[in-house]
Amino acid sequence: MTTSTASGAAIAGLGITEMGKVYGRSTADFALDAVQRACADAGLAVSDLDGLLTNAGLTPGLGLPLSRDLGLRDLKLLSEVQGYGSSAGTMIAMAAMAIQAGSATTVACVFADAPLKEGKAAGAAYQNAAPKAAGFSTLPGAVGLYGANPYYALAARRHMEQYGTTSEQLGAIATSTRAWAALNPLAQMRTPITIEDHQASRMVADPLHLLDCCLVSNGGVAVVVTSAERAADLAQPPVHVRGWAQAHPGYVMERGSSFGLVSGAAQSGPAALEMAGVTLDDVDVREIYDCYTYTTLITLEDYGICGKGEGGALAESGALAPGGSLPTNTGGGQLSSYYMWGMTPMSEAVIQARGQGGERQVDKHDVVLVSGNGGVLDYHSTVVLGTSARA
Amino acid sequence: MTTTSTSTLGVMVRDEETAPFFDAAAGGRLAVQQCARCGSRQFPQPFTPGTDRCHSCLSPEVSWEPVSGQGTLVTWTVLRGRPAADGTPAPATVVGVVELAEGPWVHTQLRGVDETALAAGQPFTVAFEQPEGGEPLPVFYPG
Repeated sequence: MTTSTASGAAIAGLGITEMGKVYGRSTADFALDAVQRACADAGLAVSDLDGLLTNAGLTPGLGLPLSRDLGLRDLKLLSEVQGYGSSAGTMIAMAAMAIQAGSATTVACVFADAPLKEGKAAGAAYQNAAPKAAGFSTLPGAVGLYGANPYYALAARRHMEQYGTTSEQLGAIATSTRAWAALNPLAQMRTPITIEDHQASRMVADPLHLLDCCLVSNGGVAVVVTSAERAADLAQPPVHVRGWAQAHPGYVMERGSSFGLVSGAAQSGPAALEMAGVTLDDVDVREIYDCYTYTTLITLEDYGICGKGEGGALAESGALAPGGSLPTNTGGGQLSSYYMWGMTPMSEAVIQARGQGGERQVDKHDVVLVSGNGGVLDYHSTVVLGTSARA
Repeated sequence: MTTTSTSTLGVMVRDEETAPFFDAAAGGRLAVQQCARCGSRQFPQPFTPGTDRCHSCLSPEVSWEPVSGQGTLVTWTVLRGRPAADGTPAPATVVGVVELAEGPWVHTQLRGVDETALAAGQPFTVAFEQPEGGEPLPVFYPG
């Protein structure tokens, strides 16, 4: 088959499995399910795939063998991808590049994870194992820094000290994100919350309350990427992959470090928008990786949606909420819908770009900005999706 | 040096990499690595254990050298366990990042502080505590 790739790549299929406290299924089983759903959504057979990229979450069991589980033969692109929360954007960029280069035509990108165990608290899933007590790398654990929560607390507190950001401003992100989730039947947490609820929620790692922290979910999400020309003939409205970029700051913890103040979004955002041939003013919908409320705040600032240090005021303005001027995390994000690493913002971006958001659909949805964030602001990807190809 | 059996610090044991750091700590001195080639000062970062190099020039010629033990607060978090069954709050552990006068940042516990009155830039000075069964670890007091 010869396929023109002059108009670039597009997302033609989206597959989302049952999600949340779903027990008894393996990571690979969720991944298998997600890929099948994405192919069916696109109007393709699984055997139409000639490329597969996998991104495993915390639990082992997802990788190259998934291609065999799916019965795929003669793949032209197959790889495991790991950039933590930046992986979804990286997989889609890799798929788009392969398609534009002509080395593959139809690539599934899949994330799955099953860290929740029945009868165990969600937080237990993301605790580091007890540190091995030897080696300087165990010092942070020895002083109490286990898992992601306290590190993001250190980052958020630094932002507060530098810019005067307040816990109530972070709470405004929690409430606006939950207000979107209330409109999303896929979301796990749909009961509206107030700033008072946020302030009264348990302090997980000061200054981060429980309602500043994302969910933990079992499930899988896959997308199918193909050429824009081919996508136009398939079952769903094509979602064009217009631009992408990565930026990994490489923080060294020493004088002059911008840890907590500036993330990789400051570089990957403008680069992805430039590739997409659009500016921030053209962006209709923002889907931001929100492992914490603070992550939304710093990413919006670094994308230039507001000035540096003004993210808190932006959140308080109501602009991010349903009915606001800058619709952000329209599915409820990782805070309130489901936690599938970078596939949370990516999946909602595809739904919005297609105009399939139901009650939560944003009226104008031509350009959607999607972020991915991994580690403790260590790894960043940006993807710009659109209803039309870049000119 | 404070030796305590009820420390909020975890137990670390020495290995080849950390022996000079703990030797200095046992003498009440904080040590950092200094690069013989470019002069950069650093702590080994918790990236990939076993890659002991200068972060600036990648030289393997790094040695532990004592520093002043003076620094300023960069950021902090207050960690509490879950409350007791009767609702009694768990004691707070204040974990901070201190920027040493020589430049490197250290993850540490802050002692003698009111956690509601901390501010970035506050001066801190090192002391050492030795949890039972472990090596002495640096903690920081205001001043």
